[in-house]
Amino acid sequence: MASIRYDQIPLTIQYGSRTEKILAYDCSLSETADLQPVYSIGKKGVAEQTPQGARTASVSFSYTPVLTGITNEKFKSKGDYNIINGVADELKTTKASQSFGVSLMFGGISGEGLLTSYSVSLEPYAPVQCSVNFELFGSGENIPASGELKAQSLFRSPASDLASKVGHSAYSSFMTAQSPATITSSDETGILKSVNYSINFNYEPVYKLGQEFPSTFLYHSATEEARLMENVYETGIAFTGKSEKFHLDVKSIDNNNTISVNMENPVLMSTQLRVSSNGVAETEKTIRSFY
Amino acid sequence: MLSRIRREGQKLAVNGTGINAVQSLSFGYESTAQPITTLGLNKVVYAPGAPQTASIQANSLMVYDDFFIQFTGELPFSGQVDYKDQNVKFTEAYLTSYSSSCSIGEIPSLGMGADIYGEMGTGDYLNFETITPHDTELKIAGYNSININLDEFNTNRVNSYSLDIQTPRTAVYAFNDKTPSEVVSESPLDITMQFSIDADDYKIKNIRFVPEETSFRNVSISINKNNSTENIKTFSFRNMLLVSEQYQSDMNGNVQISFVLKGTVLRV
Repeated sequence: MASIRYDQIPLTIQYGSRTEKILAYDCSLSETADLQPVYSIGKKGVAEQTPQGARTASVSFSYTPVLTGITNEKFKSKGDYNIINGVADELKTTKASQSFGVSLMFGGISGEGLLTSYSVSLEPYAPVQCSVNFELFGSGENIPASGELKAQSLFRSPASDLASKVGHSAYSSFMTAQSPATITSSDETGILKSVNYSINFNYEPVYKLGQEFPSTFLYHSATEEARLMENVYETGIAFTGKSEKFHLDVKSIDNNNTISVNMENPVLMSTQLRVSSNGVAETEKTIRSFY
Repeated sequence: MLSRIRREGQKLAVNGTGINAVQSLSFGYESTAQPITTLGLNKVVYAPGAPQTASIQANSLMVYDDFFIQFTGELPFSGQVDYKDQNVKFTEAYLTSYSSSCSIGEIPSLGMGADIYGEMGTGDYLNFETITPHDTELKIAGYNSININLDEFNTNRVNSYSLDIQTPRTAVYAFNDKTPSEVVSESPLDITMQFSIDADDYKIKNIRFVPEETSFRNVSISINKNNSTENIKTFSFRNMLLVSEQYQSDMNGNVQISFVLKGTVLRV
């Protein structure tokens, strides 16, 4: 069988009635069977390897968000065009499990997963990069990931174009008075050089005897964190935690179609100051929210 | 009819002053637009992958007004290049390298390189009120009017010198800005001087001379107007560290020894 090139493996996700083709830079799938060795008295070697738990899989990929995906009214009303960002926002707002999984399809393989981590990274004047991880648990008779790797034939457009609809740091910014930039005692505002935001979700899969795959999932908690590189340092971290702000609007190159990332009541958790010879002092602070 | 642009049809001005005796000039940029190559790629789309910068390099003869040495400090400069009826302007240029060299049979020369963090191109974003014209009398230096003071060179003839000053900068960008919020001038400045001599009684050091016999030298190069004692430039450095020596000879030539001195200058 011939090897398959990256451009023959599109990645598409589906959530409810929405379908979005992902501009993914990479994608990895891993599947695990929970097998344990069985030993028994009277037998010298292993008797067999036997399943102890359900098969699981995970899919992770990094991508640049397209901000004009297919929308439904629910998300449109929130000014949100990105499925993954929308799911993350929905989960942390409702604090409930996903009502249904996100369908992931790439190169002939498909599965349905729960969003477990999502991150957004903004560097100076560059496309926004997101990373995401889904856990695929399977359900009923459906195994976590099915299908086989096949090259997909696609219509290829010969025309090149400006990526005007993708998330880019060019016009992205924090909402007025919602910036986490440090303000010094002399009222100077720090330069935010890069922003790395992430959120992780914890679920409990609920299994029933007699079924391999979980019958449902319970939402437990979410941890949201943003690491901010700056050029100023705020000394004296507060024992009880200093309140911060974080409401980021990611926009496209044509200055439209924002996706919003809003942390609820974030608190300053840690600060770092680094300097090495022949360099400029770099500072980093981490703010965190829990849901 | 196709025309062309020759040297008389060009002019380089910096901060409103015409630069004299320019021998070569280059400037340009490389777009940071990059293709987004993704899985299942069905169309190539481009997006800026980093803030845009440009660069400019110029070489000139050593004349009485060495214009660029003043920009080894922290200040940027702006300028424009006129060619025929075109006018390219640039802003927020920071000098990143400065050099000077001369060898027997050459006119002493200068070189500079700068990174441009502001604008560059045609457009009306900068207006020098009046541009001083190029001078007609340049007072060009000559290799026969250079005095080099290197302590021990009464019997060793200096054939050439070269000076290189690196002035690196660090641009600090906000994540959503196309121009830097500030440009930090790094410290120290690296200074490299290379001399080539026709050796007579020059003693090459033992390779284990550091640390017991670490050699520091004070260097002074005084450059006068051609065939004159009228000084137009003096480079003077204290405590330059000897870092390398190279012996070279062949059948048809004299023994030549090249040595390199390094210095570091802290910014104030």
